Amino acid sequence: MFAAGAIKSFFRLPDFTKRPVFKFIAKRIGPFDGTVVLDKNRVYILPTKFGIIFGVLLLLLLLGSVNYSKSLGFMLTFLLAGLGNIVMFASWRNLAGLRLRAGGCTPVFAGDEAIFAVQLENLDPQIRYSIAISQDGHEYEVVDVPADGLALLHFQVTTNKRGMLNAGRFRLYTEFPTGLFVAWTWIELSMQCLVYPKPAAKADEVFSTTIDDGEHDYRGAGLEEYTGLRKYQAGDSWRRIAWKAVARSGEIYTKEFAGGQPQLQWIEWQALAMSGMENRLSMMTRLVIDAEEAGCQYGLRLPALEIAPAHGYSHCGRCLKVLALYGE
Amino acid sequence: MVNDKNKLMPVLIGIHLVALPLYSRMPVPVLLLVAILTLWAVLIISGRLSQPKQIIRLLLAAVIVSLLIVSYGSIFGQGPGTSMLLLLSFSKLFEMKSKRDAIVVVFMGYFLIASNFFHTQDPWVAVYVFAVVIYLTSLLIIFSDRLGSMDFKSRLRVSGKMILQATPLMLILFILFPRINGPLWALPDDAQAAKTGISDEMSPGSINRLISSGAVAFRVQFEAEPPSHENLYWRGLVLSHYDGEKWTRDDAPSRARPDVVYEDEKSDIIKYTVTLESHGRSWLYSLEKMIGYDQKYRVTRELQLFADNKINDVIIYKMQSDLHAVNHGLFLPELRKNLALPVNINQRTKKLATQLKAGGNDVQFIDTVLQYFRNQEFFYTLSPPLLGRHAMDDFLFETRRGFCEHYASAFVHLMRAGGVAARVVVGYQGGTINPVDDYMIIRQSDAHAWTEVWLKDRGWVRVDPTAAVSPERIEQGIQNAGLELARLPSILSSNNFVFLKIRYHWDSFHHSWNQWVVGFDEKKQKELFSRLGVEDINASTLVTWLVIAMSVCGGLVALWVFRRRADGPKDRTRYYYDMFCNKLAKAGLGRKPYEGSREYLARITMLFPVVDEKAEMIISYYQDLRYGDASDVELKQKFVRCVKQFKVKSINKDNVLLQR
Repeated sequence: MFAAGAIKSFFRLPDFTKRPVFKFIAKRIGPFDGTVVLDKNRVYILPTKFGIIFGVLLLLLLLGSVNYSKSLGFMLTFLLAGLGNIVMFASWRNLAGLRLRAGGCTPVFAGDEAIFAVQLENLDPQIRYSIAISQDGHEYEVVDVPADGLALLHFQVTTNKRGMLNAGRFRLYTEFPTGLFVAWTWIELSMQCLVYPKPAAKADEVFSTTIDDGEHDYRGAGLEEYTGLRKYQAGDSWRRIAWKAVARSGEIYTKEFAGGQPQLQWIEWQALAMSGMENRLSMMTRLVIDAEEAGCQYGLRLPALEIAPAHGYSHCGRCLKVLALYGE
Repeated sequence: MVNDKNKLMPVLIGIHLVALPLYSRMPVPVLLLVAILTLWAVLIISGRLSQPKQIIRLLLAAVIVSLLIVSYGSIFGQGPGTSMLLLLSFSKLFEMKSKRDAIVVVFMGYFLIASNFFHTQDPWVAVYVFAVVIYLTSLLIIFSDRLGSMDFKSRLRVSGKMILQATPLMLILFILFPRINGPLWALPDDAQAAKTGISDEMSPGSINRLISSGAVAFRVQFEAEPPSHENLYWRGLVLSHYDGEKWTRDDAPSRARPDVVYEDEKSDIIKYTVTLESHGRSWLYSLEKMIGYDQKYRVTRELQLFADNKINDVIIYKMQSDLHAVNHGLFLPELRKNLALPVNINQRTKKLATQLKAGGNDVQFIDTVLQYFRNQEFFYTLSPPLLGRHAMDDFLFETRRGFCEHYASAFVHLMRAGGVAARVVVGYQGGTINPVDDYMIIRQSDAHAWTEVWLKDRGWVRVDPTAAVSPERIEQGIQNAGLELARLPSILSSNNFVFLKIRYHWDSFHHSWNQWVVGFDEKKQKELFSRLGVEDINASTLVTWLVIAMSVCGGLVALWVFRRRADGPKDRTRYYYDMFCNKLAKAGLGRKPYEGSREYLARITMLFPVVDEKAEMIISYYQDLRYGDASDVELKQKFVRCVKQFKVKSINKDNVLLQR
């Protein structure tokens, strides 16, 4: 029937927990650089379903008081009505005036969860209790923000493709102190997460690399043959630390290997026998990770771009970043 | 979700706090069930028992309903309704699955606490309810403090603060909310309501029982000087039927109006306002003889005043009386009724009546009987001996010790036996003035019984046989009647000045409470506004005022809630620096979160040379304040002024790009 459906949809409230309901709200959401103070016109408030039940309770109390002419019944009703009013302000106040700052975000591989942090700064001498963060109707974390202090809230975004991922708008909300009202805000901060390409499945064989002829005989660059220990240097792989020796001497030693496998590896776009840009990038990502783990010196060759061979955490990050943003 | 005992135990305690004043009025089986449910709930909450299955919960509901029907006879009405709500909130504790269940229990608590007002609206109840509301609200805090970081004390502090903040709004609403008169739907008479004070039966000991109670029966505010003590007869009921054991009311009262005549001299009319405590019965008290009363009450031919419902609440009514008014009415059936005596008992009394009458007229006969009481060895005492089947004979010829009900009873009996129509009147006699506020307090200990005799040309005449035995009782009050002081209430027997003073002050407060809080209705509202100089206030003006007052109060509360600390945000330098950055951000040149002031300035200078001079100045002030002398007030002022005056013309984004 026409009526039932129409009425049902008429009475269904828009779900403000999933998205901003009104256009004017959408305009204020951001994204904002730097800090944002949640000022008056950015915090919204509505009764929760408990708030509505509470309202019904007040009406019943009022009816009872009128019917039985109980003055103290009136008083109780009015006290609770006043309480409802105060609570509305208090819930609002619990959120309004917070200063938000975008927090950092560690790069992730596509398919993993990007975790964004939002820093909340409380400028007031009162603690703000139970402030929660959600995105798309999913709640991620609840914190108390100490008086004159800071707190961090995190939320996750599932990544599905490489590149820079915008955190998107999120919802901060609180039902403190009574759960009768919910105060919330929609906001977007300029937060981005670097998303590396999804690494391809572990390579069966090394078919994509150019093996250097090994002119320079690096000590410690090979993998096959154990040649001895040397003192740890920054950038050495943790896998090659001689833990027994560490335990014995208290100093950190790295195991050295020589010979055999290539000491220098080029990871090359051209050498990959596969089609499709994303597939290639994915495979190259895998190779970068493997090379880094293996402790190799490795370099990257992409069309119109080359990264000289090196080794270590920051080199790895640089390579992955190039792969992540390639073509953008 | 909510199976945490730290959260549920306080809720359990909350229900008990709510119901504590109700327990004394609940039937024993219900109390037993309350105890069992409490124990059960404790076991479940502490994890020693698991939550009951559906079938057990259904059984429990059935047990609750049948128990209520057995103990109350119904599940409707105030008593069973309250018990039902209480038992349901206990059983709700068994099936706590979510936050919702707990909050619903708290809401039930808010509702249940109101049922205390069915029984009393005394100040202490108000204080108790106020405290319990603070506690219940702190329970709501438990469930919204999601990390559980607040302890009991801080929760109470927060809820106490909120309740205090709500109080001004409550007062405004209380004073200005338009009151609607009368019930919206018919009120069932509550069989459970407590009955206090004088009853509609009088037998030896029934008045005597009240004497040791210092409870207030009613308070009276006279418009002029109160009458002297011996004229303070507060008429309640007329009892004209005697069955040999007890005096009862006329079971077929005449519907005819009373036949009262009074001198129309205004000076003799006593105007007063009675504030009657609830006594669970429908009659009202008035000074003899009433000549004017509120039309919403009913007056009988015997000059009794009745309300339509039982008085389960403090009520306030205005009265007019005339001490010398005459009630003439006596129809033939009434005459017959007021001469009737049980046959075959009290034969000696009847013989005595004939002797005392001895051919004299009615007035002489009355005097003779009173003389008889005065001259023979009769004693006025609070501990009279028990009487047998011929109660009057026993009293008049054997024990001769009695309280007012004995004398009234014997006197009426003698009158009727002598052929004079007579009846018993019960009510109160006397009253003490509260020196604090100059109103009169009539206590249960002032309960009294006297008689009325019908004389042909004078109508119904009051005769108080107790006055013949103990004139002090009538002239100076019960405490001076030479009775056993230990059996009188302490307020009457005490000589402790401080104690009395405190009691009187408390009573005076209680009286004002009754006048302005409990009895605050449409009339009082009007009276209050006319005292403030606003006449003829009606509902719509009240609503207008209400809206205005609410807005003002709401605004003040809002200001209080939104107040910043006195010096604004803690870090003013930071605040204005942010303001500066935000102004630039509007032009697309916001400070990046990682940028220090120096890097930021470099970027501004590079991208946006139009403002660089001012920006440079502001940033150098900022750096000085931040890293140099932060207490330099002059510098701070300059900084603030510069930031406030700083303006960025909206710049074309393409421009910026070009420059980049």
